[in-house]
Amino acid sequence: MILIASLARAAGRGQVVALVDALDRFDPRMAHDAGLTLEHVLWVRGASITAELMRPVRLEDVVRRAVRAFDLILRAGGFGLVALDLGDVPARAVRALPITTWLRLAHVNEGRPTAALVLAETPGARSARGVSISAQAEPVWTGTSPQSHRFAGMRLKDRVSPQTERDRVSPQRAIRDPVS
Amino acid sequence: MPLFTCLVADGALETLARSCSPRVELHGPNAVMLDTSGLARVAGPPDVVAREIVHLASAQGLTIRLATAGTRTAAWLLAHAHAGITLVPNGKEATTLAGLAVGWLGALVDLDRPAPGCSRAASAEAYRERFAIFERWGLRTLGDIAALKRADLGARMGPVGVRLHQAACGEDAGPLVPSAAVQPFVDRLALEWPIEGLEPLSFVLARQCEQLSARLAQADRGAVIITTRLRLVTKDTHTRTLHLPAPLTDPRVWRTLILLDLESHPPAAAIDVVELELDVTPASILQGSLLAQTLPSNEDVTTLVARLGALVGETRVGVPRLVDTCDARVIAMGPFHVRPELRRGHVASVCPSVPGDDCAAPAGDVAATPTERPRLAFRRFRIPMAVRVIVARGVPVRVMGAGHGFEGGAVVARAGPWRTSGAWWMLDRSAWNRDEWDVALARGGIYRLARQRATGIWEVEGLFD
Repeated sequence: MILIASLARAAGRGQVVALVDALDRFDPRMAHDAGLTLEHVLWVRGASITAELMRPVRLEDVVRRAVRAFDLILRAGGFGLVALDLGDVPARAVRALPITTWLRLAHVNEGRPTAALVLAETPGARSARGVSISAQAEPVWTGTSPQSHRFAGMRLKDRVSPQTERDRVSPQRAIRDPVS
Repeated sequence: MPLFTCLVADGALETLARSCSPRVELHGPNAVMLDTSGLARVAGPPDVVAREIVHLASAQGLTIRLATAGTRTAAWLLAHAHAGITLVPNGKEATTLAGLAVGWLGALVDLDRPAPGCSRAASAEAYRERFAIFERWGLRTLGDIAALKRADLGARMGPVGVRLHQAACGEDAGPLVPSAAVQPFVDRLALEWPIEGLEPLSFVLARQCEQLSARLAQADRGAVIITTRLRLVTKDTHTRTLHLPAPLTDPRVWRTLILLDLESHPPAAAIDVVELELDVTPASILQGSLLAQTLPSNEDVTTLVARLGALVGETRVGVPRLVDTCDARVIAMGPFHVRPELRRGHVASVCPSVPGDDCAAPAGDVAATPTERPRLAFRRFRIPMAVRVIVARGVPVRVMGAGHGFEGGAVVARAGPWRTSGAWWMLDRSAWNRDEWDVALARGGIYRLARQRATGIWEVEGLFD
């Protein structure tokens, strides 16, 4: 939800955006319906494998490739927003990355007008200058009768706020921006 | 004395013209103007030269109209007006043209360069207006126009009238401007010793790319297709073709792209001969804006896409495309490039119609309020997970994983079924017919389930984010 909204906002400003989709779960049709201009999006698809079915070694390789693609795009420059979607990747696979990974990425993006966005289940991109944002959402169902009952979407519960490293809450979805 | 020959035919004349004279002015594919001034010393008088050209044309299967005159204008008008060969003695251009109807002056639109800020269509329209005036004046032939005073015609009709009078007298408005021959951009290097591996090859490619780049810069061209031919020690030829999204001129980018491509598709043996061939197009010149936001350059995008393609696969990098189908699972990708309108800054900033999105909010603010409208985002499993579902009274009440990591759980809320089907007329496996449910599980998460109606198999298609 936050990922698509961020991409749509940047693309709507006429910026070129990139999405590194680690597990290939981006749905173009629904993103288009949500207001994302698809022509502005560079989409890098990872392995089309369900994380639950993947062996740990394979999963770590997928994450490493995604981070490498994220790194390449940041180095190329010129993008308004570069997003790395690790949303469905188990936290252990993200934590398996060397801590220097995030420092290196922050250094690459230093001084550039590019927003780097990392989306994960738990805050994993620990960077001194990064900002972690934690958000919780609740489902919204509409309709009273069984025929009209439908899932309308997710609504953020509260105003989200930057989060420090010590405030990590595992069930929450967190965003990490290596460069503030 | 200058001597010009105009050829008109229904076929490609450039090769024929270049075989007769080094100074050739192209006017589209079917008409050329040659400077045949010096051919008298080589081939003979103009009539002999004309017959030789006609013979050459017939050998190539072309039937041409040819006119030779002391001015380009006279040769052009006569070649269009008369079939076969027309030879005009020096100084007799006006006399020869005198009998032509006024309407033949319309052919000048293709000969003369349009005035600055004026298109060919506008010139043709201006000519037609003058022809109508000539008709009202009772002028029927070019001789009638030539008999008028040029100054008077200029006073009444302006520069167009002067040009028409010049043409009626067989005079030129400008010199012949030779068109440069299209030269192939090929560089071939036979190696003294065969090389193996891409690292030594990169040095060879760097040298070749530099040389080709220098030639391209002289011709003001950019490469759009790079063809690499590697002749191997096994006498086979390893050929790779790169299609570039935009004309590129940077030799380092070429080399990087070629090497990245060869990393993915390496030659089977050591390399004897390296040949690079470029398909070129006029180089793009773009004035950047100091105020517009920075965008990745064509070179950067091309290199980036090639690097990403080498990392994750060429088919997994690009721009998402919508497919005209009701099957929401179908996706498509296209080649990624930055649209030219974006570079020119012509794309106005638009706020996406995201439900609940506030355009006035500062950039990067993801703040939400409890009153915000819900947003729908979906994470789709490209390979759906098969699950077992317990159904009670026609609705799913419990989802259980079928031997994999998906835990499942009791269904606490549901919506559906949404029945979709299509492509039943196709003979392949693209047909689908299923009922979709959106379910919330007690352990958290909202999933989309699909039941294949033909088989009764339940699958998890993805989860809502």
